[in-house]
Amino acid sequence: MKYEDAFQDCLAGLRRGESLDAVLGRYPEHASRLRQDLLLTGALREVPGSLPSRPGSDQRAWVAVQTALRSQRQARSGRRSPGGGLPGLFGGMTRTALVGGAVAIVAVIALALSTAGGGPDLSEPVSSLIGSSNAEAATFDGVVVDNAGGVLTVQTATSLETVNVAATASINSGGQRLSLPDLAAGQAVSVKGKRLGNGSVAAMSIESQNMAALRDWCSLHADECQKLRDRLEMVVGQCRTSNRPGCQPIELRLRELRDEIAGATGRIDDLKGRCDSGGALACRELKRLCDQYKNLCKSVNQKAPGQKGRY
Amino acid sequence: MCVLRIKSEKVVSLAESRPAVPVGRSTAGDPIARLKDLDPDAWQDFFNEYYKRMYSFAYVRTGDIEAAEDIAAEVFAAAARGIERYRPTGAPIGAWLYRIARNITADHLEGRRRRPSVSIEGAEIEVESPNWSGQLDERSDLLKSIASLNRDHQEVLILRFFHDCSVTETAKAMGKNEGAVRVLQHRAIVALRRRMETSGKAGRR
Repeated sequence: MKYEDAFQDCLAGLRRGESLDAVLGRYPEHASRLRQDLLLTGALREVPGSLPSRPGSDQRAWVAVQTALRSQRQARSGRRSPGGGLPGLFGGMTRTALVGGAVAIVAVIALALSTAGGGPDLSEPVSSLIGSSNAEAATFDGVVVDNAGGVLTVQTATSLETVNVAATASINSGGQRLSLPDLAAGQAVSVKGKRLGNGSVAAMSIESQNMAALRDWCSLHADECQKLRDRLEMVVGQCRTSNRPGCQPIELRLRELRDEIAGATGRIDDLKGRCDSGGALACRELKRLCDQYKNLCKSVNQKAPGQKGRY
Repeated sequence: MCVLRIKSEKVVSLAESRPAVPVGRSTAGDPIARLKDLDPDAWQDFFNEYYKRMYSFAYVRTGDIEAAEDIAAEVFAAAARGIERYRPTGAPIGAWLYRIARNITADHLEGRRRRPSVSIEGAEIEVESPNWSGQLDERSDLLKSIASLNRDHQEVLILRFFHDCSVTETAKAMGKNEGAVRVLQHRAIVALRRRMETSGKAGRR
């Protein structure tokens, strides 16, 4: 028998659990060389378990993968909105996510706490304003920061919106009907309604999003995400102090935001160090990440004088 | 264990391959469709299944922890960018991922060759070949020897013995036929043994 065939047969035998001597016994004419080569393959098999790696490398890589996935979702979402309008922020999300309740474009965080000042003008019934032909259509995504007395405060990509929710407004999550108190702080939502004369919005429908949508919103609006995190830190602090019920879901969402920001900061920090040491792959990945996390990148750059604006 | 196929992946023939699942069509249970759909859970599973393999593949070929991390991350990022165009060819999706890893690693090594040296704290250090200086255990000799083999020899050894892929699986990952893989494996073992003998390490194990 040819040596190559004998070698293959011995490998198969070892794989089946036969001993080295047993498989070598079948090929006495090649035994000496086979022994050397089979011992070498045995040593090769032991290598992967002993390879060095840095702690947290898989988490850092996962951040990069998530960034790529979000970019893809955005790109697909853009392709599905050829009219030039703003593509839905959650429009490119997976069908699994859609089935699970994630369909919309923006995340909204609502909290059952009162906001300071700037309440809506309710001198006119919301329902009549919705029907007004002069009212401008308003559609946006965001995260609920406050939910008090039929009024939501929603952090969007550009501002804080006051959203009046009439009794007739539909509130849903993946086809399931919700009630207004279900929209707690940290909840991502998509709002459709009409802009009122005082700048607030009268909601006609609100779609509640899942946690993945919150992370995506945070990733796509990194600067606002940081503001949102600060607001939720305050809300959670107040919630704990006053021992109000329903703090836990808000804390969970806050944890998501913290993790998102901390993960991105760690990855940027790590890539920057390697990019500065001449790692071309790290520089490319850093640039990609910094297109998304502009403020975070600025703050990392500030740690290294003379490198400002480089990425 | 060689895991080129993800959980419940159906291997379809080229004739059965189809474009991305249209919007609205159910993709439940079809992991490839879920990946194409950018389903976060499907991607998390895919990443968990393959990250260490991609890392070890890149590490053995580069000898550089940080570069291996970057390459492994870039493999998945490239996969996310390219999954929409991925068409099942009869080979499991892991084979596709390995091919991405091969290309990115080759690009990285090519870039490193073009940059002959880097300055670290004033000292000019050649970076043409993997630097195993951090490897103090006896396996560093084996890794050095593997790193000195040509690309095909390295890859066949990594797939066959690091990741325990069968000849058929290795052939699919490398885009070669099974006969070619058997020959390549044999030559790789011979070349590796000679390298080890040259450095006086073969036969000690």
